[in-house]
Amino acid sequence: MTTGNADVAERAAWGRARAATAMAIIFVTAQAGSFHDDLPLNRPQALQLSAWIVWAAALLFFLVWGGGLLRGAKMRAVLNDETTLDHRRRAMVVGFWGAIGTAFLVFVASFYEPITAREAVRLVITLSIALALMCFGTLERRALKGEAA
Amino acid sequence: MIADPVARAEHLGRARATLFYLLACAFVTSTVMGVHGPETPVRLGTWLVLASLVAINLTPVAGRFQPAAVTRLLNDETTRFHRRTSLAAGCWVSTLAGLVIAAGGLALDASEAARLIVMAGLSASLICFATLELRAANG
Repeated sequence: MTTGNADVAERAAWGRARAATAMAIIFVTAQAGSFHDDLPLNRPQALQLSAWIVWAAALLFFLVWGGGLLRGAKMRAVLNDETTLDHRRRAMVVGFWGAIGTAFLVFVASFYEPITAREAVRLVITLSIALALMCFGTLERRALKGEAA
Repeated sequence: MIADPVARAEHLGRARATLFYLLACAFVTSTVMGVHGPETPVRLGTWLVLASLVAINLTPVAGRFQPAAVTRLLNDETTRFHRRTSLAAGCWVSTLAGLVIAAGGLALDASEAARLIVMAGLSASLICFATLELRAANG
């Protein structure tokens, strides 16, 4: 790979790492303001729920396939090397423990606070995805800094 | 008692994989019965204890009660890779379960939804880990 291509790949990797962290913060912030008590699933509620599902799916897509999708096979291979695959796996592990931990908390909290199943699921999945993205962003940034040093 | 650490680790590795399959079956059965049955404090407490034990089994802590040489072999690089892979699989399954519950409009309460997500994630991880370990043991 030429130096020019290596620069492009490094810039793209930095962009992906920053985007992962930023998207995690935006996702959690946006969801934090929209948790309500037992609201019926009317049209605006259904729309909000659909938007959340699409957003969550898009973030998962980014986490797993993000990086060089539109840049050709060579660039994709560089952006998704063995280290990135390992970071992805580690990020999913953090997401897993985040989901299990939050589900445990929701399970206990549901006996003291009125929480609907929808709100519970949104809380668990939102935190799980956000933690995975944050972890991926941090690991990638750390690796890129190590490469640059 | 097997004296050779390698043979003992191999024996324990297979036993662990088999135990994980059984644990996954027991956990799924317990959760499904709990979700469909009456919610008594004893039943909910039992589920919480069982889920915590299953979760602890998926961490490296579970193999620490063996001699150091056996513990090292039971948590070698391959096993750590299998553990990460199975937990990543569990993350996918629990996320998908959550999305299905949210989109499906099932008549569940928060406690049931949380239990189903935990069940999906933990049992998928147990099965995935056991399968990877057995496949590696069989060469």
